[in-house]
Amino acid sequence: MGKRVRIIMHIICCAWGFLFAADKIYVFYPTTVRPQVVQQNLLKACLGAEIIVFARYNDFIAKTVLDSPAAVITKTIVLEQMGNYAIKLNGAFKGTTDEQYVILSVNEKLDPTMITAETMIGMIDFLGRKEMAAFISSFFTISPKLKRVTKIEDLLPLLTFNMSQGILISEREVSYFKQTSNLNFIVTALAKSKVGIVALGIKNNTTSPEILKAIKGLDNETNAMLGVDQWK
Amino acid sequence: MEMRMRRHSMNLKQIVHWYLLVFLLMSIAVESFAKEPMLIVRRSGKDFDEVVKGMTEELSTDFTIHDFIIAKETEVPALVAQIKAVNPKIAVLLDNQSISLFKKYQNELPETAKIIPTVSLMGILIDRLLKDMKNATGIFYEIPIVTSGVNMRAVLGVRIKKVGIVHRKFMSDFIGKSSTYCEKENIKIVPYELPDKGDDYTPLIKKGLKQLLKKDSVDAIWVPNDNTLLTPVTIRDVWSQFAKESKIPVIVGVEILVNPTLDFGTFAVLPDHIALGSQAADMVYDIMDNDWDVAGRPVEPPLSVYKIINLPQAKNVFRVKDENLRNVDRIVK
Repeated sequence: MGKRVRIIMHIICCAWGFLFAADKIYVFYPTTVRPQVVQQNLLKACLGAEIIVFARYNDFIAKTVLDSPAAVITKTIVLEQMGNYAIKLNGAFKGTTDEQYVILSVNEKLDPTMITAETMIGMIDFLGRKEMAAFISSFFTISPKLKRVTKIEDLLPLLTFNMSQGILISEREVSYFKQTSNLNFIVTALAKSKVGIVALGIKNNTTSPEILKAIKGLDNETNAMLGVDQWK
Repeated sequence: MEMRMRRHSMNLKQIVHWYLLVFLLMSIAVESFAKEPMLIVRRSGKDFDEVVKGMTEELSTDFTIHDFIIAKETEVPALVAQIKAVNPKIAVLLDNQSISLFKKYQNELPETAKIIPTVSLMGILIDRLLKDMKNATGIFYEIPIVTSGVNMRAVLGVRIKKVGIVHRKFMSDFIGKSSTYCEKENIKIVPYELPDKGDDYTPLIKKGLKQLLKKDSVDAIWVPNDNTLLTPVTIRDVWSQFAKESKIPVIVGVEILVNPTLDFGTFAVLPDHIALGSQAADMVYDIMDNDWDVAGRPVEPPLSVYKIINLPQAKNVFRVKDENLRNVDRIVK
């Protein structure tokens, strides 16, 4: 690469960095990929922005309230509950921005109509205790008991040790369990259980065209980490 | 006239200030009355702090948390004074010392006394510690062998059908229970038991490892967190030598043992302390919903783990794929 080209590239990078200089982007999206790996990938896409990827809902909410970042990337339902961020982009997979939720159980099918107040269901915590209870209730006629965990892989011990009769996950996440474990998994789709995958929220009454452009241009690898293949 | 108005306005300001102060104090009082008092008994240290963080974040909206940090010499009267001052609805006990202290306090109570429910964690083989405690449950500190095995299998991408374990007799029960869960994952545990007491374990460990590798053809070794079997001498003369020669993956439960300079552990699986605190918080809520009755609630395994990999060994010996490292918490180079 010629010296002149390198200088031009450097100037472009600096200018790009300057555009993001004041921007903080906070991310909370439970996935099997570690937050530091997602963070590295996003940092490459949004040069100059300060990006923090959180592993836990509590940390994400506490820091977002404290720092009021310019943008947040999280599950659509989390953004909807936050209030002070407007959804500007939705992550989509195979053209759709929603995903189907399923119950994963071992050896026996867990019939959604047979769920009682004593049935224990495991789930990733992405809304906090009270809101998660409300979220899970929306799928069933009777609210089951809920066991919340921090990471997707933490749901596997719930099934291994019979601590829950099933786990509630997105259909996309089933492959992780089938690849990792030899348990005899049974997948039961839930009717009317389409939930938004991931969204980008920009702080109310502000604009951040650079962030929008950067997220729309994320590479395939980073998009896959967020469970999508495009943003719209 | 103007003076009188100014004085009147001053009085009004003072009254408003007093009302605001009283309102503030009342709000604080109402809030603390509405919350349930909870006592944590623990020693000081980073791991304990993380567990308390995980618990506090979950419980602080509904509980007033009193953190009682004990020292080696803390005795029952100091605990009794705390219990009298806090009047806790529930107590969370972190590690063996806190559990023993609380057990002593419970043993001194009259038969008719109300028993404060407890959730215990971070103790060694906690189910045994809780056997003779009333209204008590907890979470194991030991990572289940199946959890470690499944995680390592997924990361290294190797076949693991038989896991060999050299252990002392006191762990037989834990290993026996683990076998059932490992079978579900098509992993067979092959134990090699050593006596609980002995003068020199070096030749015994060596013999055990040799048998597991040559006779039983194990695919991996799981090393228990047992200080008697893991001394600087046994690590140098037996464990590390075995890891180098056998070329099979070694699962450990202590971070330092995956240090590449030791060339011993391939994969370390440790408790995730913040998540352990959250799991304990969930138990506290369950017990509260059950009118402060533990009611035979079983001791739970820890759900969340922290994974560390010895990269040079994983790359050179097991050809681990880069994409598999994405769900490892720490990569030691």
